[in-house]
Amino acid sequence: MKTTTSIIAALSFAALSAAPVLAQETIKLGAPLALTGPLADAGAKSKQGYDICVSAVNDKGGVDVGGKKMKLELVEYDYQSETNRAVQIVQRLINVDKVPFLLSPYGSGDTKATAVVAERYGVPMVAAAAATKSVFDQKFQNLFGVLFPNDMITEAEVAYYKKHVPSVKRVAVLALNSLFPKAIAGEMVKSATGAGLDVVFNTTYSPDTSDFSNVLTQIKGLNPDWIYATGYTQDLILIRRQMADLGLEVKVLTMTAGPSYPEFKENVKSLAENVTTNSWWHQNANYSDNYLFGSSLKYNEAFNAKFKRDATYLEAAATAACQTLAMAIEEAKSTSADAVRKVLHEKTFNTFYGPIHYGQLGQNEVNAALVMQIQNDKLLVLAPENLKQGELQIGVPKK
Amino acid sequence: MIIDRAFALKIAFGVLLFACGAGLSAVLDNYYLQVGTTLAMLCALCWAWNIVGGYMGYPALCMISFFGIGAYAGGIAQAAGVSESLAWLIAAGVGALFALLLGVPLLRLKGHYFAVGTIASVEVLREVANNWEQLTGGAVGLNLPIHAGSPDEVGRFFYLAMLGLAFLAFLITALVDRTKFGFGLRCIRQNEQAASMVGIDVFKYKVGAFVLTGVLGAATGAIYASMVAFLEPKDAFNLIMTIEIPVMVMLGGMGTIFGPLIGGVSYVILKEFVWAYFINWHSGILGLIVVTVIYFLPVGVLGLTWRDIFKKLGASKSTRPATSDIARSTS
Repeated sequence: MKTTTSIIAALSFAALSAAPVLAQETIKLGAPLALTGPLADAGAKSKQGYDICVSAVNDKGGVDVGGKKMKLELVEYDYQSETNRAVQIVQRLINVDKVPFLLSPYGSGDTKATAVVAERYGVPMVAAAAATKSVFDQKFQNLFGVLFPNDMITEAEVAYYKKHVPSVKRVAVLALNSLFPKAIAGEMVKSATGAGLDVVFNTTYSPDTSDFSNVLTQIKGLNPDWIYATGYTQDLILIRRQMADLGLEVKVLTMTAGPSYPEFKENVKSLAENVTTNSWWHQNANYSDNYLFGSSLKYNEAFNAKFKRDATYLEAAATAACQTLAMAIEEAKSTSADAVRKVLHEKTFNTFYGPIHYGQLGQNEVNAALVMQIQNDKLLVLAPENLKQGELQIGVPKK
Repeated sequence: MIIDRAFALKIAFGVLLFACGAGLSAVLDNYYLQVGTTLAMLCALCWAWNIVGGYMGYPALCMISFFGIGAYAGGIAQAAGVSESLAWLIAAGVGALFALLLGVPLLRLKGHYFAVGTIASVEVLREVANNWEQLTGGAVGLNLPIHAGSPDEVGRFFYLAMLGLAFLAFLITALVDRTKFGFGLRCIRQNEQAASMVGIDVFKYKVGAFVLTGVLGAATGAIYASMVAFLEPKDAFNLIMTIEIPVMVMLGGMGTIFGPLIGGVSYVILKEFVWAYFINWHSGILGLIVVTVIYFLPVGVLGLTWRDIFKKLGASKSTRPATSDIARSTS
C-alpha cells in the first residue's frame, strides 16, 4: 500500500513538474555527464555550470527564436566516466531523445570519442572541458570548444615572466603523466625553448606519487630560476610543502591549476604566498556580458548564491558553452543545425567568460590567458595588462 | 570431436540466436544497435576469457591487456593507412604474438601468483601506452580514420562486425568444448600433474589456450577502436573491465558454452538496474550483489537445476554450496 501511494505521489509530482515544460515547445540540449566514477567531481561541476545557464536563460523568458520564446531543457545522463558509455549515451540523445544540440562530456578523450558520433549525425556539439589541440585537428564541422588551446596559456606566461623578470633563464618543468598536465607541460617546454629560455629539467611523475623529495633534490641541484609544476591539486600541495622542507628557493614558482582553487591555500597556508598560476578564466578578470549575466563578477555572484561557493573556470566554461549555443540560436533565428552551426563558426560571442570565437577549426581562438599570483592570501590577475590587479612579486617564502 | 544430440541442439540454438541477432539489425534504431554492439563486445570477451578462465581454470586477469593491445595494434595500423579489415587481422596477429610472449613466462605460475602477474600486465601496458608517444600518441590519444557512411550504415556495420566476432568466439568455444584440446584443458583444471601423467603436453596446451584467448580479445579491441575512432590509454586498458569479464563468466557458468552469453547479458542488465535505482551507491551495491551471487551460485546460473532451487527454498541452512561444487568451479 505504501509503495502504491508513493508511486502515485511520484507520478503526480512528475506530471505536475512536467506540465509547464510541456505547455510550450522547448529546445533540448543533450548532456552526457560524468556523475559517477573517477571523473565524478569534475562532472558535477560541469552540471552546475549547465544548470545555472539553463535556469538563467529560462528566467529571462527563454531563447528568442525569430520572435518566438522557447525555453531550454537539459536532457542529461550519467556516463559513469566510461568512454564507451559516453558514446552510447550520445547515440541515445540523438536517436531516442532527438536533441538538436549537444554539450560534450568531460575531458579531451571522451569529447573526441563522442564528437565522432555527433559529426556523423551533423549535430553541433559544444565542448566545455577540452583544451588539447589534437581534439580539434580533424576538421570536424560540428565540434566547438570553449577553452582556447593550451599553448596560448604557456605563451602568455613565458612572455610575461621574460618581460618582468629578465633574469629568469633556467626553467624546470614537472608534470603529472596524464593527458592534460602532460600536454600543457609539453607546450610549456616549446614556448620556453622558443623564447630562448633554457629548459634544464623536464620530467613526468606517475599518478599517486606521494614522495617528491627525490625529484625535487634533482631540481635543486640544477638551480633553476623558474619551476613549472602541473598536476592534481593534491600533488601540488605536496610538492609545495616538500619544496619548503628541502629549502628549495626559486624566483618564480608556477603551479597549474591548483592555486586557482581554495583548497590549495587552505592546505599550504603561508607557503601559498607568491605562487603564480594561470587560468582560462577567473571572475576577477571582469568581462561584461550583455546577453545573460551582466559580467564575470555578477556571474560569480549568481553562482555563489546558488551553489554557496565561487565558480572556477570549469563551471564557467560549461555555462559559456550553453550560453553560446543559446546566443547562436537567437542570432540564427532558427533551431536548425545548419543555421546554428554557421553562426557558431562565424560569430564572436561576448560573454562573461570573455570573447569567444570558434572560427573554422572550432576551438576558441581568442587568447585571454590569465597570469595570476597569490598575494596576501588573494589571487590577483597580473596579465593581460587591461585586467591587471597587481604587480609580480619575485621569490617564494622559504617556510 | 564428439557430437551427440544435446550438443547438436545447443549449437543449433546458438546459431538461431545469432541469426535472430543479425536479423534485428534491420529493425533496431541506432541507439539499440549501439547497446547491442556493446553487448556483443562483452560476450565476445567473455567467450574468449572462458577458454583460459573457464575450461583451463586459470584465473587470468589480463583480458583487457589483449583487448587494449588489439585496439592499439589496429588503431596504429589504421592511422598508418592500412584498411580497416586488414588492420583487424593484423591486430589479431599481434594479439596472438603478445599472448605467446606473455604466456610463456606467466603460465609457469599458478593460482594467486598467476592472477597477480596477469593483472600487472594491464598496468604495465597502460604505462607503456602513456609513455611511448611516437607510437601510441601517449596520454594525448590516437586519432583513427573515421568509418565513412550514414549513421545508420555505420551503426549496422559495427553491430554486425561485433556480432560476427561474438559468433566466431561462440563457435571456437563449441569446438574447444568437444575436442581433445578442450578435454586436455579440463584435465589441467582438475589436476595438472595428473594431466601430464596421462600424456597431455600441459605447457603447450596452456599456451595454446592463452593464444586463442589473446587472438579473440585483440580482435574485439580492434573493432572497438575502429568504432570509437579515438584511443587513449585509460580507455583501452580499463582496469575495472579486466575484473568485470571474469565476474560475468562466473555469473553465467565457467567452462560452459552458454555461460559467457548468459553471464554477460545478465550482468549488463543487473548493472543497468542497480545504476538506475542507486545512482550514488551503485558501485558498492553492485559489488555486494556480485559477491552474493557468486557465494550462492558458485557454478553460475547454468549450474543451477530446478531441484537445487527447490532445495534452497526448502532448507535455508543448506544455502552454502557443496564443497565439491566449489572445487569444480575454482580448481
